[in-house]
Amino acid sequence: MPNTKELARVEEAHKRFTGAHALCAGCGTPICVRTILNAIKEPVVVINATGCLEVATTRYPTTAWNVPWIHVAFENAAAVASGVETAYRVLRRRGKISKEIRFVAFAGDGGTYDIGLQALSGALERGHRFIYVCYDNEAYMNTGNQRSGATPFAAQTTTAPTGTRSFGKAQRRKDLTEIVAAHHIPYVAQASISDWYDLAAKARKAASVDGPAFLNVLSSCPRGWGHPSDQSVKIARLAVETCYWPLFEIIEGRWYLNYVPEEKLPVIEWLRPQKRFAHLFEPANQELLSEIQRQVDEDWERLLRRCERHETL
Amino acid sequence: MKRYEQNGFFLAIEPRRCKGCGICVQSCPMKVLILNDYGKVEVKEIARCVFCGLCEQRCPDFAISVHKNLVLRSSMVV
Repeated sequence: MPNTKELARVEEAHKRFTGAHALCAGCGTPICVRTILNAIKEPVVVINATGCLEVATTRYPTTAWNVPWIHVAFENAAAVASGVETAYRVLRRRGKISKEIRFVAFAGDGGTYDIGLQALSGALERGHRFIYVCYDNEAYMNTGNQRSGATPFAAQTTTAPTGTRSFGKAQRRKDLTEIVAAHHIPYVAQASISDWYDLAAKARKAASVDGPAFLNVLSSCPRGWGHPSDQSVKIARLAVETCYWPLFEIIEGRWYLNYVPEEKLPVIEWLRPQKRFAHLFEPANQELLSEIQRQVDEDWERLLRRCERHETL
Repeated sequence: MKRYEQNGFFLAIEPRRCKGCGICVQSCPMKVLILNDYGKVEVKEIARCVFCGLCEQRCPDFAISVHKNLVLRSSMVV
């Protein structure tokens, strides 16, 4: 199992992703990317969808990537990954490549939940051997905080503003992890940047399965969520502790819960530090808070029923 | 590049990479790090550091790293 020293050794050996990128101070995405890339021992090829990560790490003429990297368009990270993986498989069969290579696709929640969903679904169904990582910051943060399918209920965004007639996003978020699990792929997991050990272990498992693997990683966004930049990891941790973002994995169709908080915190603890939920704490919006708690409890109960075994890391 | 040495380990900070988010300050279990007046990370008291590596693991900007045996890893050289 990986520890910080081992991850640092891999980072030293490969230097896959480096600093001096232009992502905001306190962004959770580079933590997610470096942990995942350092946890994979084999050589990697990175496929990137459009998003914060792509825009901020590859400002011409510089790049933060030290691995083969490809970006085509917003919607087709999974389709590009299938093409690259197929080409690799053919070259390997002909004996032109002998190395074991892993293909990792990084996309934000906009490029996964909404725009890239059909490409992702197709690639999963065809069974290409690649790892798809969705860094979920719960809105289109690259273009300035527009709502996406991943935006939680009642969160304020620029396209779901608050006012006298609106309380932010009126719909519930999509449960993408379950949608992906319904493709019956070998490995699906939900992780958070706060639990690096869990995330690194999941990345390693994802790299070891023969077939598609999917990681949904909660990645906090100080600009969009409206919290101080030093609280990024703590906010992601609170999402796990309040069971808003449970850590679980699905291996060959069997559900395992990785972490059960000793004391399940009320979801209000996670909502309060974030400015996008500030309007919920006005007296008129009290019932919205209880509605969010009800939704979180409902999802957690359903997950508990699904998970046959609690496996703590 | 600043170095803070203790017991064969050292902490290296590259201020040019630091964006001053403060995640390392929050993550540090021993409260070794602070943000200085310029908003960059600095070591307050190296004697308390246990070299767990959490600051390195969580730094989004690769500005801070923990090294053993006083050999600087080449990935830190800008």
